[in-house]
Amino acid sequence: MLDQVRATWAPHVLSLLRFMSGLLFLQHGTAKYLNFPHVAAFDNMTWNSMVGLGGIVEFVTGALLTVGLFTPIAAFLASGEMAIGYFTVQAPQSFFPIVNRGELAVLWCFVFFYLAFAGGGPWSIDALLKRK
Amino acid sequence: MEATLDKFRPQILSILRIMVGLLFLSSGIQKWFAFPVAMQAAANITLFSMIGIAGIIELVGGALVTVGLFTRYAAFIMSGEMAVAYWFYANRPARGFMPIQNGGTVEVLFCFIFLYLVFAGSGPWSLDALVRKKT
Repeated sequence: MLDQVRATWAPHVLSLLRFMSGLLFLQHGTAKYLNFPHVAAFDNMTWNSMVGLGGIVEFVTGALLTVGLFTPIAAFLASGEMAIGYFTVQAPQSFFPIVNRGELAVLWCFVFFYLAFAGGGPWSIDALLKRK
Repeated sequence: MEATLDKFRPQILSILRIMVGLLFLSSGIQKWFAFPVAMQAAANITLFSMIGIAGIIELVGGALVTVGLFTRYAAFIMSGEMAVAYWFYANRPARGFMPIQNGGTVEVLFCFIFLYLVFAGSGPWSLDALVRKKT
């Protein structure tokens, strides 16, 4: 019985994971471009810096992932951004994510990579469009 | 294109599981063995403290999820541990509502990834899959 419950709900929990990871990602985009929530480190950011360009990706793909529109493409771009972020910012500091503070980048990179394959699940605009 | 993506989906799930498991395992190793660097909050770690029990869950659960053995059960406990860490141990809400301000983004992500693993299982590259094949 437990297996049945899991099989029934797995796609919905996938949507939940997509929604939460997308929202957390979007938050970084809004912090950089709308100053909400305010993060002091982003105060003097310019759009054409690494952080600024990353913010554009975070804003756009974060919003798309939160609502589940074009999930595979958005997730692939977001995953790539996190890979670049990890190898340019964190990896030079140490091999271990727990030392170089890159755990978040690694987690995002692999979650989004999975979402690029798995899609947005049933609670998504992608699913709505497909039904039509 | 979607058919190709679908075909590899179970393998990618296994890769996600291995990476998340390794990251989680490394926080357990850091708490109990001070490797690769010591953790200040775990300097005087004892078994029956909040941080000691968390470290045990991270060691055992992280190892199980990395190799993909009893993934669903381990992931359930670990998802719960991360929820407790966010709401009580680290008391993130008291430091701000938004995770980017209160520093709890990693805990939220771990929590929801493990919750998904409870439902999705461990994928084809796992001991669970090997055991199932034999029986």
